[in-house]
Amino acid sequence: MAKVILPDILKQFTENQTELDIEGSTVREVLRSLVARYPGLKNRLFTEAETLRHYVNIYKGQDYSRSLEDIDAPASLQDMDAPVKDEEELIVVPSASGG
Amino acid sequence: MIGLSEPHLEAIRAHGARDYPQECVGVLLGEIQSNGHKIVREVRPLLNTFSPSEEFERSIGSEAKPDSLPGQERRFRISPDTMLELIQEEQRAENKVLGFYHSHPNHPAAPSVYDRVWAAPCYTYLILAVQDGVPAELTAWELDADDWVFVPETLQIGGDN
Repeated sequence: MAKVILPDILKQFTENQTELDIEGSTVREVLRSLVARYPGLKNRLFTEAETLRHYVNIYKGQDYSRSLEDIDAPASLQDMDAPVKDEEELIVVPSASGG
Repeated sequence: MIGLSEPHLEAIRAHGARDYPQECVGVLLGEIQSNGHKIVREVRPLLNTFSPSEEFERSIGSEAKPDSLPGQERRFRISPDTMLELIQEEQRAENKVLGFYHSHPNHPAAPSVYDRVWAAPCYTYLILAVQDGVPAELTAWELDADDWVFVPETLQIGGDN
C-alpha cells in the first residue's frame, strides 16, 4: 500500500481524507486505484485521454515524478511506471502557473 | 463565494503595483466553511519564478518563437518546490490552500487561455488588473471541472474575515 497525500481542497471527493492508503506497485497503478475508489477525482486528475492534467505533479518522496518540463511527453514517459514501495508516500501537488 | 478582508485586498493590490510591469503571484490561505464558502485568513505573496519556455507556450497551442517568448510580464509560475511545501504545510496547519492570486499588467482581470490550461479545479483564482502601474479591478474565478472552463465566483470584501 502506498500512502497518497492529496491537497486539502480535493478532500471533498475522498470522504474528507487527505491521507489515503492505496494499492499499487507503480505510480500509475496507485493513481488508477485512487480514482477507481474515488471516481469524483478521475476527471479532476486525468484527461479524457487518461493522461495527467497539466496541473498535476506527483512527488514520490522528495523525487519529482512528473516535471513541468515534460508536459508534452506521453504519460508512459513521465515516470508513471516508477516503482512504489510499501508505505511510500506519493504526494499530489498542483502546479500554479498561468498568464 | 470567497471572503476577503480589506487589509487582504490592499495587500494584493499593493503586490500588483509593486511587481508591475511583471505579474505578481501569491497564495490564499484560510478555511472552507461547512456551506462551502471560503474565508481567507492569510494572503501570502510568493515569488514569480516563471522563465520563458517553448514548452509552456506549446501547452496553449502558441507558436511563439524562441526570441519572442513571453516572460514574467505575461506569465507567472510558483515553483514546484514551493507548492510542495504548501501542500505539506496544510497537512499540519489550520489554514488550508484556498487558491491563488496573480496580476494582469495592462490587461483586463479576466482569465487567459494560459490560466485555464494550467488551472486546478476547486481552487479560487483571483485576478488583479494593473493598468500603468495602478491596481484596478479584482475578479474571482473557479474552474468548472466538467467543462474545464472558468466561471465567476462571488467575491465578498470586508465582513468578519
